[in-house]
Amino acid sequence: MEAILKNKFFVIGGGIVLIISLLVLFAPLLTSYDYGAVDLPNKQLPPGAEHIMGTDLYGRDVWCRIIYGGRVSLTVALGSTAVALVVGTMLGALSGYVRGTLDFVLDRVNDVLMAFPMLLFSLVIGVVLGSSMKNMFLSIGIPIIPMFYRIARATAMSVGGRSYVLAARAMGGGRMRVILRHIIPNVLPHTLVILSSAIGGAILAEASLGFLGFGIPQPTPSWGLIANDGKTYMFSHPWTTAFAGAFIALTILGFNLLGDGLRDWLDPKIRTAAKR
Amino acid sequence: MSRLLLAVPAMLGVFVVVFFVIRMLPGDSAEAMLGASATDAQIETYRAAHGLDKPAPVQFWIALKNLFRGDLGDSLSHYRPVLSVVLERLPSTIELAAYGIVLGSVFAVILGVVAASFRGRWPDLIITAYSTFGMSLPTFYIGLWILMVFAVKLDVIPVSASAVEGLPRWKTLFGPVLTIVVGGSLVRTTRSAILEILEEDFIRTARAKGVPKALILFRHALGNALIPIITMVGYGLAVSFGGAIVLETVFGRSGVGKLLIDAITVRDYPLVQGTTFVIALFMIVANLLTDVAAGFADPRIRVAGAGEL
Repeated sequence: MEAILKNKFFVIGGGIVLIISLLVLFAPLLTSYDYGAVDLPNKQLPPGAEHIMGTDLYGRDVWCRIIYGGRVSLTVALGSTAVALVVGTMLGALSGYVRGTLDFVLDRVNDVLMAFPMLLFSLVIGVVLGSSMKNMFLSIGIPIIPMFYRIARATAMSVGGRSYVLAARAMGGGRMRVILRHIIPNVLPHTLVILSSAIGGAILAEASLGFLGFGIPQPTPSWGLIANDGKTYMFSHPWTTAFAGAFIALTILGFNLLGDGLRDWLDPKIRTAAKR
Repeated sequence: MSRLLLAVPAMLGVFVVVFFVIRMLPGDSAEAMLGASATDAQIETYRAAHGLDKPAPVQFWIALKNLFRGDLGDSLSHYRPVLSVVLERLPSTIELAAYGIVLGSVFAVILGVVAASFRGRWPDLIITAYSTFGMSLPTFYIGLWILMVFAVKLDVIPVSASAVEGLPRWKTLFGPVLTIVVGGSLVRTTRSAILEILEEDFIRTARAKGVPKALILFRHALGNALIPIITMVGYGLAVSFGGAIVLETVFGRSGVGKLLIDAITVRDYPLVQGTTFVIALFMIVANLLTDVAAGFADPRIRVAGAGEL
């Protein structure tokens, strides 16, 4: 544990993620405004003492909307990554361990999933399902499944032939038992490495969908929707979009750095390479 | 070759996915086409005329047969075949993606080589920090700032490319291509690919022989780092096509990305289906070409079977 705290990426990334999480968690304590309260006389104010990040085109406090919006954006990101992690890891482990026809079929399905650019896929799934929080988990989660599937499959293939797995099989352990007890625990450290950057990717996807106008319906703010709100007046009143975008970028940076740190720590090959 | 064969089921799979996903939409194209004022009888007539009253597998079979004839149905908002609408917009997106990838790769390879050759010293730190930060910036955010600087403050490019007639080509491409280049997602891959190669024995041998450092870097290291770079370029193509949806919206270019957004907005489902299908096909072909290119760059892969890349 000490070793990882010496990793600069991990500490900086973790710090950013921690601070943003705290801001979002304690949002009610950090603002006296209501994120939906329209105040037209005070619309599109630049940052000042009253509104530290200014107000949007309906006079709503941008800082307030951003810290409350983080709740939506982070929930969507965590939920959709969880969907991808569970489905991708299970199917990947199954595919890599069982092999044969099942593996061939699942791998072709994976090829198909990977043929769609992520954002396009999310858009189309989102259109089919309609916009709600639960559906966002799926529309952003499904396109990330291949990330986890491929790693789980590759690891399961290499672990599957090891002697302790064969021993477990010889002692009469069923397939599911072997997968759950022996394959999955070996796969998880590898998926952990990409988990953090997957969350970053999910935040990016939510932001892009919101920016294109395909997020969770108003008035629930999410970072993407806040950026979208400010888009029309970006060139005369850039503050709304500028601050929302900066929060999105900072959070993604935090998760990416955290992921880099974890990878350095967990992957001995890269770790020694970095030391040299 | 095996890779080529696997692309066929992938293409069919894409078609199956697109077909059934669109069929899951609430309300079919009859309602979308005829509007809320249509009577039940009118809707039934339309459904019968377009085969929408048949069971889904039959509809799928018809769609599949039409697909091989190059018929993706008719657009509800453009009143002509989907394929002709999509093909009309495709060159614009390909142009954007091609310029983005070529210039983006050149930029990334230069920065990556510089970073690798100064490993651990300040040029490396700056470049690595830059690319880490750049990768965290959403495409639309970079794009909006580029518009802010070049369109609003400096006034060299228009705010919306499609709003101005007879614009020189570079002006319509400048913004979106710069956005792709600045994103710098390839820099880190190039750097780590070259660093990994520099650890190899043959590099040490070359050094021991007294080969100049620059020659080692560009000939021995870069040459061998081509595989991961080519793979990344293929990935970059995917990113550009996905990114085109955002870029075309931000910069007002009328390519397939913008076409898709518009089709979704007006609920033109045949067009959504056709656009999605064509983009996905394009991606499969791009991935194939990437594998083939990797095989050319490194004969070892061709022998070992390109499928394992």
